[in-house]
Amino acid sequence: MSFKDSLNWINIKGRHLQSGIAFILHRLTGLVILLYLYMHLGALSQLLNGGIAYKNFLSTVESPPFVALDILLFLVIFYHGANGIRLVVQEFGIGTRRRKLFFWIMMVLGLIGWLLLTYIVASSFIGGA
Amino acid sequence: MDKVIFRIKKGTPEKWEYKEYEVPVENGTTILDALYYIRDNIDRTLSFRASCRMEVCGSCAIMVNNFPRTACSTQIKTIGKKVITLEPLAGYKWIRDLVVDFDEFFKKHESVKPYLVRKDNPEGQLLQSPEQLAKYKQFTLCIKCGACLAACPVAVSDPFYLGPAALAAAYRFNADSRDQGKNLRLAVVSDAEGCWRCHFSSECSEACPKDIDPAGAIQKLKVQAAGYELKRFFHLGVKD
Amino acid sequence: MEKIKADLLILGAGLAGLRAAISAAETDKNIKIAVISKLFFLRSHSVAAEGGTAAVLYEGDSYDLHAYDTIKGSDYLADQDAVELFVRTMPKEILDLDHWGCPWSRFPDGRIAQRPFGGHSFPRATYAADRTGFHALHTLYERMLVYENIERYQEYFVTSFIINKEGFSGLTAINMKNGEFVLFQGKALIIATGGLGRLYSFTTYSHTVTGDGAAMALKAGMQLKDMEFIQFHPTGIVPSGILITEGARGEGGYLLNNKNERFMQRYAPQKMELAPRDVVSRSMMWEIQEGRGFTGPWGPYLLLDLRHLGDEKIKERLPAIRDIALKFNGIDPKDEPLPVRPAAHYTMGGIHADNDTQTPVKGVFTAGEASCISIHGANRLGSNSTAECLVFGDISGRNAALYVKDAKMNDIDMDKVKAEENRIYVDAFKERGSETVPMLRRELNNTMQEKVGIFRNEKDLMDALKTVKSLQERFRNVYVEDKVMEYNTNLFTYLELDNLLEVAEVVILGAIARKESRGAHYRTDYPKRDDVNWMKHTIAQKVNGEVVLSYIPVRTTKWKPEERKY
Repeated sequence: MSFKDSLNWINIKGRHLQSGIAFILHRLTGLVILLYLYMHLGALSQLLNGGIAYKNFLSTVESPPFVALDILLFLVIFYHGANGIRLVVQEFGIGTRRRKLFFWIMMVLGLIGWLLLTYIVASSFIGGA
Repeated sequence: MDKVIFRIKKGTPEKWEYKEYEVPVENGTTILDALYYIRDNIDRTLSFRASCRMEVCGSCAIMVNNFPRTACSTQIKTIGKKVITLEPLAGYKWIRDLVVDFDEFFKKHESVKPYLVRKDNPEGQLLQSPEQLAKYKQFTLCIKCGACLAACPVAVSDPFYLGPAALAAAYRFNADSRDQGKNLRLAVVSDAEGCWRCHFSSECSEACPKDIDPAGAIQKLKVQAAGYELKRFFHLGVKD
Repeated sequence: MEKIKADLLILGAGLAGLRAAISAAETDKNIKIAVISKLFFLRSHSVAAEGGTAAVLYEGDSYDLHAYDTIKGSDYLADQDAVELFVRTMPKEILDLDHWGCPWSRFPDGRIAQRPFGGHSFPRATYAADRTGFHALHTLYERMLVYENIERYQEYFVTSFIINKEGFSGLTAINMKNGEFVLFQGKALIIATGGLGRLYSFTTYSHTVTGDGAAMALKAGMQLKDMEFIQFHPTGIVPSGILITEGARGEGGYLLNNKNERFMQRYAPQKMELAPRDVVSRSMMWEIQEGRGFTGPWGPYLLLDLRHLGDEKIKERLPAIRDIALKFNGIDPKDEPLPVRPAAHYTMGGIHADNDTQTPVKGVFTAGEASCISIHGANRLGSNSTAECLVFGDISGRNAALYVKDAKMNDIDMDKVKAEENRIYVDAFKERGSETVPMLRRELNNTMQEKVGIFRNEKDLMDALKTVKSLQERFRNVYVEDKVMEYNTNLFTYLELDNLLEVAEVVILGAIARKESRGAHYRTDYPKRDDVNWMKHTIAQKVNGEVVLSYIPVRTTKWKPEERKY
């Protein structure tokens, strides 16, 4: 099988939202989170450059464009987390026939969680700024 | 009488194209009916597999508008499209037209020891209550059509993955109260390319024409396999 | 040319073929067994069997009772010693399947369940929901995987038997995947190729059941027996012909005409809907002929009513029927009755063999629907065919394995092989006329359906014979248009049509000659059973290229023929 074939999992044609598409999104969001983990470690490693350099670095990444990106990141994390909880439960063999219902319940919960967090961050940011 | 256009991938891996055929359709006409119509009246060189036409032999699974279905039990009118694309099953080696190589599929099935294992030589009936039968009954309905592997995003991108059909078959025997070979099978399926390769995309359960829920079977198998691996890890002695 | 050698060749991988393979492997683990089929084994038509497998298991039943039911059901044409052997071997087969994992339905106390079935005077149909054949075949296939000396040759289309005066020597075949010519060499052959129902247009059979084994046997000079007896199953759903099991009536379903009456009251007052299939089919056709049927866009039909059984019972005992009605007709059996009509379903006749499944040709055995021992005589009882396949599959496997131990590989007549290769790869592709395989096949189907169906008469049969003979002539101008040799279904359907035309002639000739009505063979010009002149088996054999009929007596033991009333 060629390298091209090994990417066949990303195909969305013929896939269902609560099954194959949720799966693709889970893998992609997982990759994004992994990438972010490296970036986050990179960011923390700025501490090695001393307190002042770190404070400057923080003021960059706490500016509006970066916070907006952060809020998008939260969406990614909430999707991955909510879907992930569904996967953990179903991979014990529980509720595997009620995929659509389970998926949407977790999506709603995840959305609520994300909106709450966005509200908290945005209001503290607006309040702080 | 309505007309529907079928776009069919025709040819061999060396030379192929998409050919279009117009077929008259009414309530109840299935994709298999259309295939026979095309072969009988328009193009006698169209190759496809079919036998029972009642969704019990598993011969006729093909990709219908990118989703694997058994041609004999798929009603054209319920798809509701004017153009339907038919292609050979995804993830299988392509031979010609709508025919793919099923040897690998059956080899994978055979590798999980899908037969009843008994350590004794019983005489008389092996009693089993209706409740015990109900525990594994749905997984006995698999017609080995292969649609589940064509739907699975892992199976179409990793040729070594055992696949839903084989894994569901393994679970079917593990859950059969008459069976005594659970650990023999777990030794085979608890593998990087076995049940652990499944990440619950559950497309197999969406595709299964018999509504068996192979995804559920694999997850239940994972629970058994996890117990098996833990016992092995702590040297608690896994009896065969 | 690929050359494959084995000790025992088994042609056909349905219930009989796979059971034979297992038996042979258990009898002798040192012989090499090759199972050959034009399909993947799990696609064999055996999977379509639904209702059950008859066996004497419990208190209240007896071998004599099962034998009597079978012999009476056969309209006294069955060989009674064969039937007695059959009923005594059957219970072991049920237990074997249980030990190998078959998901038999159960009584609440855990014992294997049985239910009533047509023509049986005790509820002895062992069943696995209403997918008995499906579960039995899958169980046999799975069990077969255990034996290391069984080689599987799936999707090999066998085209001829090579038999010389010393007996069996080999088979020619086509490897369907790449189109190459293959020669199988073996010491013995078991023919388990099933029936020939695709002669008809309204049938419960799979598309692939085209009488290949019977046709090849006939061409090789072997004897076919009782070919005129073709069973029509009362309840094929309209319009597809898909089988609705007799078990639906066994669970209490009613057959109704357009006056909403259970018309079987008039034809079989004691057994009603559970009379043997030939009786019920004829009753249904009489109702339709006398104007008490329904008319629809796909022909006349009657109703099978399951509504009174209730949703739960249907879901538990008849789930496949419910599935079929919903998927193929859009009907829920708990709300609406099913439209049904008799459909061609089983071939009582077949390759002539004795109780050890041996044919007169040395080294050739036969089992299952392809064979005629005969235990079904002129009409088969429901649930006796899956049973027959298991019993005689078992017996043929054992006997063939013992035979090959001392047998030698006979020489293959390479002239015959070359001639066959020429027939398939050169002759069949020569461009000639304008008629096609589907055209001729449709005409054959319509002719058989109209003229060689449930009600037969001299004029119709002679017409049918003329048409078949002319089709055989016209077939000489048909050719294979598809030049791509990988999985060339054009070639396979061409060869299948050749086989169908070959056996159609034998069916019709037997029907013309038999001037009586017995079992499934009913002649409106000779409506009575004639035991004085016709209690005998028809043997058909090709001599100098022409089909010649002869007769052999029926073997009786305990039971004298009586009037057959239900």
